[in-house]
Amino acid sequence: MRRPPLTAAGGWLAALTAALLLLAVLPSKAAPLPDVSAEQIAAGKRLYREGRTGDGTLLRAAVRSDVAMRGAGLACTNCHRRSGLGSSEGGIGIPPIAGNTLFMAQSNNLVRNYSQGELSNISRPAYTLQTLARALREGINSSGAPMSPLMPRFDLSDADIAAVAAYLRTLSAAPAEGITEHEMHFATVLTPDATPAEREAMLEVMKAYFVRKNAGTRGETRRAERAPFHKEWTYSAYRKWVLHEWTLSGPPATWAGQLDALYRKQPVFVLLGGIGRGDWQPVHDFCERRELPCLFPHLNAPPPHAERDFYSVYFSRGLRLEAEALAAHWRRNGHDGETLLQVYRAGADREAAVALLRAAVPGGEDHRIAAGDTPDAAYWKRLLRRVQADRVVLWLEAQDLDGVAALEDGAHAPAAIYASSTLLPDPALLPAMQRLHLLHPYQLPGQERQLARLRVWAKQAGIQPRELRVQADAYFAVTLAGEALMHIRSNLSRDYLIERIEHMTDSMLYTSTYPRLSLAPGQRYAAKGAYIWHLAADADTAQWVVP
Amino acid sequence: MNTTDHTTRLHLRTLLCALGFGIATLAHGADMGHDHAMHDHSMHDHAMHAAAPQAASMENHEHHMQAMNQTGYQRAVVRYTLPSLQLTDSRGQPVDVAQLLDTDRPLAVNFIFTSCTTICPIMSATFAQAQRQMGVDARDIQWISISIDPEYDTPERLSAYAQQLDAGANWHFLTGDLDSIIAVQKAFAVYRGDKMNHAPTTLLRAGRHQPWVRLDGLTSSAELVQEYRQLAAATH
Ligand code: HEC
Repeated sequence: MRRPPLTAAGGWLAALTAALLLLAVLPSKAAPLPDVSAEQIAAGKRLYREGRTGDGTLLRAAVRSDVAMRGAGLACTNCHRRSGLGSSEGGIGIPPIAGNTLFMAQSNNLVRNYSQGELSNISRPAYTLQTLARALREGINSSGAPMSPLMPRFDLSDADIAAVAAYLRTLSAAPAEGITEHEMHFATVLTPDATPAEREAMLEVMKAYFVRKNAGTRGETRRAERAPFHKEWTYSAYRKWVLHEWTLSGPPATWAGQLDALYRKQPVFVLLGGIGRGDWQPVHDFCERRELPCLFPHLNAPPPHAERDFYSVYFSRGLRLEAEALAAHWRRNGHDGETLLQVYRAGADREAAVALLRAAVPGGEDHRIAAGDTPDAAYWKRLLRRVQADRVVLWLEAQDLDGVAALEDGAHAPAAIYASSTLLPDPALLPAMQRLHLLHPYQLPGQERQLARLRVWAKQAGIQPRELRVQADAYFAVTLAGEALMHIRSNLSRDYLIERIEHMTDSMLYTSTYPRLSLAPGQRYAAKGAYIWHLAADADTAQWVVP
Repeated sequence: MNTTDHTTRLHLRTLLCALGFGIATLAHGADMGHDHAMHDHSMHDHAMHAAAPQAASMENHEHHMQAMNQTGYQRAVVRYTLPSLQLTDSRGQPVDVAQLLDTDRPLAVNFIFTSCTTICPIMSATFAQAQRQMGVDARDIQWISISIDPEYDTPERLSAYAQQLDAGANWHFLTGDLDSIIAVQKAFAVYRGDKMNHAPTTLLRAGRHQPWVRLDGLTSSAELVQEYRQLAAATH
């Protein structure tokens, strides 16, 4: 290992200064920086996020004393996270190393505000470039104590260490936009393809939650005003929540411009909830570009590649999930060689599902119902005579199913018929059919006990049940945001908010129409499977399929 | 074989939490042959409340976690009764757990998930390095990594994960339906409710009818090899 001495300012003195500073104002700024260049920060970011050193090679290190590792898996972001504010996994706490923590002395009092909580008895002097180098190469912390062997012992040059130090100073340092001293701004996006009834159902839940949240916050704010000074930092997290409705219009290609204009007028900290039936990609891209969390919108067609990005988190892959579950079910049961007729109406959500299933089952035909047509029994019979198929999938809404029972009559009847539960939210409205199966990523009847909490809350708030899935999704989004923001307290970093949500979703007592919501670092679709539910049979015979 | 060997390789700094934590984990395990007096230390019932499907407040978990920055691992000799369960390997083939374990070949088992970025890459790298270190001996052993995030860790994802590790044919990566994965974790007393809360545990067994050696905490590769050699020597 290369280990030449570093030129650094007197660490001890810096530590003492930082400690004194800490006493004076909480929180204080880190000690001023030696000059760093933009290139240094960029190099530090590559090291931190991708595990690439200054000379372009991958990071190398020893972990747990003798396990040699190399590559992107060693990038600091894996453990200390993108925010630099640390984490805990597998029973092991990983400390925050963002500059305004690392380069400041830590007392218990201060550390309390970070994710490790009260038991972390961390008191240590501020890091200097020199002690940082020793930490990274030898695993000795700024107090001179050996660190957990989980923290890798890196083989790094002085330039790499200076670069990563420069990057750490920038990490989670700038105050996030959308937050003022007394307010936290949220926006919820409504695209033109959502129906007025759905929009109202969502907004009603969100607004009621905000009103109640703010009523509670007033009490907290009064407490904060009377709090002793060292508690101030904790309480300063309580701000009034303000909700902005961002209603988009026109074709999706124009949404990016509309969103930018809305954001310029009123920057927000988070896009919360939101509703759309078709294309959502422009909103997704906007969030990624602005580094703006976009949490749990109610959609039929979330973008397919969210896991390559960071800022958007979705309930599921929407109709795609239904199509994938069906394709997997057929593959596992040897049906993928059979012929398939898909019937659908125009729409980005349905077209995506049709294409996905078609790629898995090549034989058969996709039939789009023309805009002016209203299918009746004769329509379905004609269609079946022309296209004979083993299986039929209906990507249709209830108003198109009036005569659909005719599919089961006659010699050309398919072996099974499937329909999308997302497009048919009320199974009671379905025609009685022997061969109809619902692609159902939601809880089955009888499993919906979880929703009791929502019902009680809605009743207290004077909200009538309607568009239950929309209401439940909106309620999940606001309660999760509430809980996550409570966890991050005054670390108002957007990245940290996403990290907390990745971390806490599984353990949260949530209310949802989905049987199970689960996330982890990098996961961006919380619901992972769907029931294939034969409606003529008992609900408990429905098969859960995870594609 | 009712031996326990709790005191080896525990650094002083972690003794307290290791006692509070590691043993609490064992305390709700299956058929265990070890000293019950030790359970008195499990006052911090982290593992207890974490085992409930909906775990209690995250804050509490994190308090405990930070307290146990482990620099060592704990060893216990334990017997488990495995129910008959069907899992799926990384080629999508069904695997009967009882059948897989019904072997005279030595076994090494751990629990991971592919989107766990902190301890799991290290546990996997430790398995890989121990295999290299053992050379031909490693080929006698069945290495088994069981995903505790089965709905995300599809056979395809596990297969890609295995490829990254350059895993050989005797290293099996298993997933399954959620209930079976929970059942297998419970059978090995490693179930902690929430996957984000999972702890590094490695299980070794010399052969059929032998007890398991349970290692709680991160081991180094040399320590893992040493544990295996000790086990093999004791039973052959
Ligand atoms: C495999 C997980 C892992 C990776 C990767 C990792 N760290 Fe750490 N790091 C830890 C753990 C765990 C600790 C806590 C060690 C302790 O205090 O015993 C730590 C502690 C530190 C500390 C000391 C913090 C303090 O408050 O004393 C610094 C500085 C640090 N890491 C920097 C880095 C940098 C820079 C990188 C990337 C080059 C990195 N780490 C990569 C796990 C990791």
